[in-house]
Amino acid sequence: MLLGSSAVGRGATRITRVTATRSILFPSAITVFRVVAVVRWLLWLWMVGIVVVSAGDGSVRRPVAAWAAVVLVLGAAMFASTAVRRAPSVLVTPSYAASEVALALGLSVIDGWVFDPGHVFETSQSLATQYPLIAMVSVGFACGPLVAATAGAAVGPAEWLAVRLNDFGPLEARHVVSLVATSIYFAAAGAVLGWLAGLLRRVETEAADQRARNEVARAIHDTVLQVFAAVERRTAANDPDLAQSVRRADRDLRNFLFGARTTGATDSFESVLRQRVVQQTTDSDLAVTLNVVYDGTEPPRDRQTAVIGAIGEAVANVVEHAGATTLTVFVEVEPDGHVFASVRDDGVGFEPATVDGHGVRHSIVERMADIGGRTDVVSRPGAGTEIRLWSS
Amino acid sequence: MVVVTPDTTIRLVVADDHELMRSGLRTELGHGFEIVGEADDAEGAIDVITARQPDLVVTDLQMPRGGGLAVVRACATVCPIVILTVSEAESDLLEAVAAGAAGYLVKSTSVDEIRTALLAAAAGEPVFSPSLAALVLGEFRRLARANHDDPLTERERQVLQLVARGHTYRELGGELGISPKTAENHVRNILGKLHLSRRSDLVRYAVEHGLD
Repeated sequence: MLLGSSAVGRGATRITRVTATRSILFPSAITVFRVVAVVRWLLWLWMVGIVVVSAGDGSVRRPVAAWAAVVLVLGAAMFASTAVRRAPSVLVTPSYAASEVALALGLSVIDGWVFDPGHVFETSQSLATQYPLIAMVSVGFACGPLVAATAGAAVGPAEWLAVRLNDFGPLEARHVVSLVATSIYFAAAGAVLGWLAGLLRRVETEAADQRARNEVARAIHDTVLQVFAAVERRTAANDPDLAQSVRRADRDLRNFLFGARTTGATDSFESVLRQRVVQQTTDSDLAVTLNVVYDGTEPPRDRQTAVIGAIGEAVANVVEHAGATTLTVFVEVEPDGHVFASVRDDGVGFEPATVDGHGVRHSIVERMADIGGRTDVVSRPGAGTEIRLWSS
Repeated sequence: MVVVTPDTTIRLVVADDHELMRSGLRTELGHGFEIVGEADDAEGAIDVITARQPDLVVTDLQMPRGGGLAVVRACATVCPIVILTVSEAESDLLEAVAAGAAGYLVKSTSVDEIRTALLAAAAGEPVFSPSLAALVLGEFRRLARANHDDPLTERERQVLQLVARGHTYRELGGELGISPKTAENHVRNILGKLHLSRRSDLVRYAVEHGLD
């Protein structure tokens, strides 16, 4: 049975991993690229408008090149729109991101070349306009914030090249500032977009992992756990050894399936407490019940540490010395953040007045005293032990 | 509700979509129980309970067509219903108890304990585990905060807490200086208040949302 259980564990882990590394293209990325595809068309229309108007007032000195750029952007928009529908994974490849950056920088450079001298710095509308931002999205998703920021920083030098090709007169300080500001603006945009892409990916991968885990949990819940329960019940009387190993397999599997849900991302009082109790009883044969009455009110940090530490020590004592079969841990967090806890076993018990209680004095009483709390030990030889803790 | 004597045979309906569980109960419960009907989904269970009018129902929580919750909602007035669950973390567990279930047992419970608990349930006693007590305690905390009114008396709260800490009725009776019978009556009252609170919650919801 133990073999069977670990095989299930491996299978589940494998499913989780497949989800995690399946692709850097996750659903919300496709949504982003869909929006970007629409923006491309708007920018393309804007570009057509600029070339038509500029050709009308005679400020374009190389109209053929200008229209060629328009056709190029049309091609890019068509490609992106098709890809987002047919093969969106193309959009997050580094080579596509590189071609996007090349297009954006090319548009920035050509902007100076096709217009009459004096166009740069004078007209606010250029062929490239916000095209580099679109490229930053592609690079951000494909290569992350650092590469995106670097690509963004290249927009400034590209515009400097445009200035040269525009036969613009000597650069003044304000022009240089403007070029540097352009670099900073697009570098920052690239960094932010790349960071957002990473964040989206992380959130979605975690959600997908959790979904996969839930699916596995549901499937196992409906089959394996039912069989475990039946075997445990039927063997309890006439084959205690088998019952014991099934109980362990059952517990390991539950910890794997349900444990991670509460102990994974959060470090709430309850999840840390659960983790601690599971950890300390995992090698014992005790039937453990952990009851937490808790509405999410987090006790102060030092109180949490002391109470969980004291409970951990009390549980360790039960595992080590009590010779018990059942252990019940009860923890109640009052709405005002005060904590009451009880660690109770059905073991051999002892005489609290005469025995130190196996280190109860130091490890538990002092921890509670440190936060102004109180500890009661209720025990009688042969009648089990209950350790009661009040946080103050 | 039946008066359980050594000769009593409890007429039982078992609802579970796992054949393994049903066959287990069939073969294991033995003397004192007669399974008068079985079902593998909620609708079938409601039909067979209505037709056979058993003394006791044992039902799984997760079943097709509504699950154990639907069975409890439809049949809690016919006879005591005990939920048999594979995990105490089931989200519907408290809901089922609040809707009138007599309590629950975890499926891995040993046959002897199941038999004892079912006999008690057939006699009208709540099947009340420490975990369920903790769930109920938390639920009253939630109700108290939502309605700014705690329906539990201080004594009832103490009883609930002691059960959640793993005390038996006899032990907690000793602790509080009351008889085990009184302790059990407290538990019955607590469950009654839970049903009432839930019902008034539903009524309030209906009124607020303009439903009849």
